[in-house]
Amino acid sequence: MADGPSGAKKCRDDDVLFRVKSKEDREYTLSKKAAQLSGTIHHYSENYGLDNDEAIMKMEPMSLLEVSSESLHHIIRWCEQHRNCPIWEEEKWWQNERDAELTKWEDEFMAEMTSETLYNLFLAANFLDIKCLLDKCAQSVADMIKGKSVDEIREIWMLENDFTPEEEEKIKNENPWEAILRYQEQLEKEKEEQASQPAASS
Amino acid sequence: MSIYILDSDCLSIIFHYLHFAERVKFEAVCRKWRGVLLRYSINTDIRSIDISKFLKTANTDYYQQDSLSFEPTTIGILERCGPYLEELSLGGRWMKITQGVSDTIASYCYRLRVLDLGAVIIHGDISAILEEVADNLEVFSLEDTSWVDPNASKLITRYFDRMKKLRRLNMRAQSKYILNQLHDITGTLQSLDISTALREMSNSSLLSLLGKQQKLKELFMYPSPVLLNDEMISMLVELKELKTLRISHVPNDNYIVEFLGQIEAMKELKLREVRALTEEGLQAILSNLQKLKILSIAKCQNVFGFNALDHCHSLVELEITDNSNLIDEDLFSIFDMGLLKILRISRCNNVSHEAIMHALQRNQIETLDLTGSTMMTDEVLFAIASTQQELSYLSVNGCPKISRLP
Repeated sequence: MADGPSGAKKCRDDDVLFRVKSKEDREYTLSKKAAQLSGTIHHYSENYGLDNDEAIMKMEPMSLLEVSSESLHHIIRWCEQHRNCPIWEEEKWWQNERDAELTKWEDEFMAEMTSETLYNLFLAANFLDIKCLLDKCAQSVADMIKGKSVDEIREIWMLENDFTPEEEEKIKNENPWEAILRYQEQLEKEKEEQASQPAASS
Repeated sequence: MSIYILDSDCLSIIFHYLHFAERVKFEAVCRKWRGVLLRYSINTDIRSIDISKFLKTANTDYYQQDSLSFEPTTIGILERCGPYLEELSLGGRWMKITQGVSDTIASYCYRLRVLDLGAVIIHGDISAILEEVADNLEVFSLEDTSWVDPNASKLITRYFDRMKKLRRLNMRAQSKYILNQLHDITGTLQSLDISTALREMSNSSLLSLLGKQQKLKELFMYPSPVLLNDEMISMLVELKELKTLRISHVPNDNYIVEFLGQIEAMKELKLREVRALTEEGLQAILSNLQKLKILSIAKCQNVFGFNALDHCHSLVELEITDNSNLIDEDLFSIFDMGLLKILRISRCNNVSHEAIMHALQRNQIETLDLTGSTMMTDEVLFAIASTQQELSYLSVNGCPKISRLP
């Protein structure tokens, strides 16, 4: 696999390693601290008595049936990079104090992702309950759809318009801006007509 | 591969990063998106909304058209985010507020702390809104708001005694009936605007209002709703927190304005058409107001000398208009302090370009208004160009000796 952005943290030799297994049955390891960024792994540890180093060293790999090898690789990179961030204490800690270097690393990390990788990573982050990564993925996708029209969205992401014509009409009427927009368009049209008339006659 | 693989959880997090208007727009993409946008509590993060921001034209006439109803728009917006809103503004563009709009606000927005119904035309009455929010309101504005039915406006006074958290209240240009009931509000106000061109408020109402509101920091009577008398001035002097006072339209025979100098904490004093203000009065006021930062003396014709300005050591904003008794020498000591950010000298015919040059050499000014100053010359403009870095507003309208802009 490709190397990560510059300065990526690798887990140190003396770290206690947590073992996980991807959908394709490939085994990966990540440091105990990095693993704890995942809410899902955190709960798993609590339920299976993995609260001490000895138990973790003896553990069987945890199966992550929903996560592909590719996503898992990226997830581990992300978690190792963020393993020293304070977790659990504060809701949305990752938005409060932005470490410039970490932000730069995150941006480079996201820039590497193709959209396909991104969507899978997003789902994996949701499955593993890694809040900071979820947020970053959401932000990246939001940046892609911002400012697009409904038709553009459907076209780019091949989303089918599955409303019936009646439903569509209803949605239009419900939309708080439709009535006003239609009125404005009409008003502008009238203005244009007025503006073009004297020009035509002269 | 498509965005389609993302599940509802993921979509809802994405939508959190979008602007409210985009969230509504994307309801039309497909069933899945619509479901997430309407069922997940996406709009909980919206605490403050200005309805007029969603209407995309700046033309005021447009909003007043009879054929135009804001009801569907308002309903659509408030259905989605009303329950989370703490601040609601209708944007002060003379929109017509129908009973339907009022009822919608009342049924969705029960958490409001700030309600700005300034500069709108209310058809119907807003009791239903106040019934929901009166107890929690901290800021309430009916600035220049007009009512199709004056009797409906009277109903708001029923809720005054419930507004126990109110800090800022703007009742500019409201009727005497409303002004005369304001003393029902508990003594929590910090800012109050009771300006009106119609001098109809009763003396006793104003007295009991001022007597109750001992926390007032700002008071606007611009124009004053009553003819000020001794009793009222002594009431004003008792307001220990008062820092900002704007008064206008006090006639000749009213000698008491000089007592304003006793409100020592005052930081902002604006007087307009206060004919009672004389040279001696100004002396008495300014010699006591050491903390004054903002001073405006507009159209006060009976001030025959401005020597008193020497007392002002901390001014950041100075406005003097329509008085030819103001001369260059009166201004030098203020200009020497070098603190001025806003300077407005309009239609004062005996202020020359030399005084303004003096100001420009010693102050970095942001707003400079020299409207109708007949003695200004091009030199002033050259001085501005070479000395001022922070200027964002300049008016030299009606300065006949100024020939061009640099």
